[in-house]
Amino acid sequence: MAFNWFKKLKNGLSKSAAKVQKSITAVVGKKTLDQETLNELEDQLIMADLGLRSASQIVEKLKSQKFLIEKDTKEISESKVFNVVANEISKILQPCEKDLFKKKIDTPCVLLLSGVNGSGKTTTAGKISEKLRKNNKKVVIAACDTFRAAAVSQLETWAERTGSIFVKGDDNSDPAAVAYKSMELAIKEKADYLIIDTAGRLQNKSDLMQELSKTCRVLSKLNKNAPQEKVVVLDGTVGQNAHSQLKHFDEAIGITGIIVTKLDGTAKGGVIISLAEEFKKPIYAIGVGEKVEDLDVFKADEFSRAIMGID
Amino acid sequence: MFENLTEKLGNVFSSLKKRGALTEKHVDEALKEVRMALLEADVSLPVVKEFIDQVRKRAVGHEVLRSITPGQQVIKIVNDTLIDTLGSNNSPLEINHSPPAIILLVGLQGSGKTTTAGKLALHLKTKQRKKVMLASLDIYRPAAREQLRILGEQAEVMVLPESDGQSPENITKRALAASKVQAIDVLILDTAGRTTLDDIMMKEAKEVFSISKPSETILVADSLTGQDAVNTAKAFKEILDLSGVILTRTDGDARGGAALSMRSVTGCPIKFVGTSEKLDGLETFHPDRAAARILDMGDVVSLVEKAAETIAEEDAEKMMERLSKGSFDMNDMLKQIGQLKKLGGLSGVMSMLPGIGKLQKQMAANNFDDKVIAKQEAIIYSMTLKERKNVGLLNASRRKRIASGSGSSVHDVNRLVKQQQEMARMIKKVGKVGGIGGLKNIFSSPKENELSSSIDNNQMPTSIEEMKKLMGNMPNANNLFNRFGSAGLPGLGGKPSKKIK
Repeated sequence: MAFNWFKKLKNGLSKSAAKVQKSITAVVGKKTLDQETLNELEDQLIMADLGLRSASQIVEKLKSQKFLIEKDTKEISESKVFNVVANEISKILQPCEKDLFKKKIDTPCVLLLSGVNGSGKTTTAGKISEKLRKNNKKVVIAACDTFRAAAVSQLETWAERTGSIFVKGDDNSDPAAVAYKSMELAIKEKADYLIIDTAGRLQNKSDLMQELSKTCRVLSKLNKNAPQEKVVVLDGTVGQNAHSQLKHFDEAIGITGIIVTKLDGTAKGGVIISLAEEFKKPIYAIGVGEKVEDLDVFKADEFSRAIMGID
Repeated sequence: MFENLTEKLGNVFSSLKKRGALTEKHVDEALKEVRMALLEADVSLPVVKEFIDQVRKRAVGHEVLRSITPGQQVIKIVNDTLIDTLGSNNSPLEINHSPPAIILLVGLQGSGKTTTAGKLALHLKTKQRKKVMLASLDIYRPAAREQLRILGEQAEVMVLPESDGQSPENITKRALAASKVQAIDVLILDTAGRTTLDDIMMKEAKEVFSISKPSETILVADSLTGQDAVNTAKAFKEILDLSGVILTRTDGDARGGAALSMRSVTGCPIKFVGTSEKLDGLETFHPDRAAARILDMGDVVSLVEKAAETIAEEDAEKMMERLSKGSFDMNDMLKQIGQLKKLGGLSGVMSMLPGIGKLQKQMAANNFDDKVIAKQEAIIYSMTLKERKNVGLLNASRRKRIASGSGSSVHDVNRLVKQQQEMARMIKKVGKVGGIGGLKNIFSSPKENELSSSIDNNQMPTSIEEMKKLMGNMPNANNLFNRFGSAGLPGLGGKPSKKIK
């Protein structure tokens, strides 16, 4: 399993990773990591969306790092440099490695997916329910995106594919009411999980953010812990705005974890490294494709190594 | 979080007293800050480098105008270059040849293609009186075709009927044939989202392109995109002859550096920007506003327009009349709160103002957010009409009643009353020193001037100390027009400075 997703992730990252490697190789052909090399490394990290601060912090650590000069080539081995960088990144991400399904306390465990428009919430809801189905869990899916055209049918298709119980409301009805209804059903059906897919919203729309916190409040009436998991779904191509997204969603509903999607493209999703530093939220899973099984556990070490293009 | 560029450059040049031409050393120092600002705004690194080189060439040796500081001069050059790079104001769609003209929309998953297709259809139908047909080539994402059909119904344009089992290429052919039969002016093809690494999907896009021979091939891109913007733009540019870009979600709080990346890589004009989730949320791209946003100088112009839209002029005039008499009671306060809410709440307004980082932090520290506003509103609503007109009536028992009626404490009521009185006192003072003339100016002429009323409104509900703090920290909001107006900065649409004092 682990091998499988890592391969996929690497495949996804391969083109961009190859690029990183090439340009580092070119500058590492010298004996020491001089300023120019460090600058190049920093540039590469910036281009992976790590952001200025995280990139320069990582490079700063490399400054004091001593590298062995290889006897035969009289050069610093590039793979050693990459390993060190990957290790630095991994150290930052390690504390965020958490399994979404490990700490299930209540039945049903309510899992709410939030995020900006087009980040991949609905697809992620489908992928999660597939994962749960494979583990023989009983799942209820609630379509609380009552705003976007056909969002409900999109999720309904996923529910059918994964054999989940599906709850929907009328178009433009109150999403909180749909959520409440679905939780009542999930309790009655003794479902293991309730997945709530919410409408995409930009984090600076205060009214929409309030609607989201209302949905959570309403759910907590049926169980004060619900929703037990409040996940923000981040688009892997997102840049520094991810900070603002996480901050505002966290303020509105208290985010318990992150899922990063669309990492099968050219984007490297490096912003999660600075997010990890700033918010220390668990990263539950990554989306690496459009297929229903393309969602897997986040592994800091493998992610960091894949970003640097090393096995 | 970050200081805005104006302040930063101000610091860089603060030691520099001598005026004259900008030397290489000054410029390099300043460009470091510019580089940082651009990267923080998510402009892709290769684009940043190219841009910085351009600015350096323009800036070195440039005379500093007498009325402004070297920092402002550099900003002006940066801003001018940015606007030049972002392209001209108007790049209309080239759809006026023999019908049907085809518009092909491509992009990554979740960039907003389908919503944009619906918006474009409505735009072409209502603004250009075209007969439009929508066709979805997305056979992969569940309910994508249904989504487009619903949007088409909402926009009241034709949608190509769905039929299962057809490939995107075949649907394209069917759409072409149908639009000829139906005498359609513009056919909009909405494609499936694809990652640029997916060779099969990219080949499909190429196929569709060569079958349909579109007059416009538009890359729909998310303005929240980070560094990947260059890769995406390059990859699509390589296989398709792109003719334009539409940036979506510009109503978010991202600085939108992707605009610059996309524009430089594709060389294509940014034709429209998506500004809301609703079907009419499609606007022409304004390079000057995008530039201001990227440089974190705030989108003051948009704020002004929004204020003009949402604050009825009559209201403003009435308010003005009362203010000029020096009276300001709870009803006035309530009205101001209402206007502020219409503008999208405090956070909505704040997100458009320049140099907001520091300010927002301070406001958070002072526990001042939209909730406070709602609470104040509740308190005023719990007063009788008489009480609203005359706060003098408020004795202890009335205050108690109001507190329980509004779900707040007597302490909160007291604070609100105190604020209102302080505001009233201030307004009287302004009247005395003859500031009313200026005030009148601000309130009476429409559009731009309501900006100042709205900015004032923001601050109205805070305590006077907070207000002073806010004012102290917001030199740009009020001085922006002054500073840049006089320097003729096009980024702000050359708003004359006299209007806001």
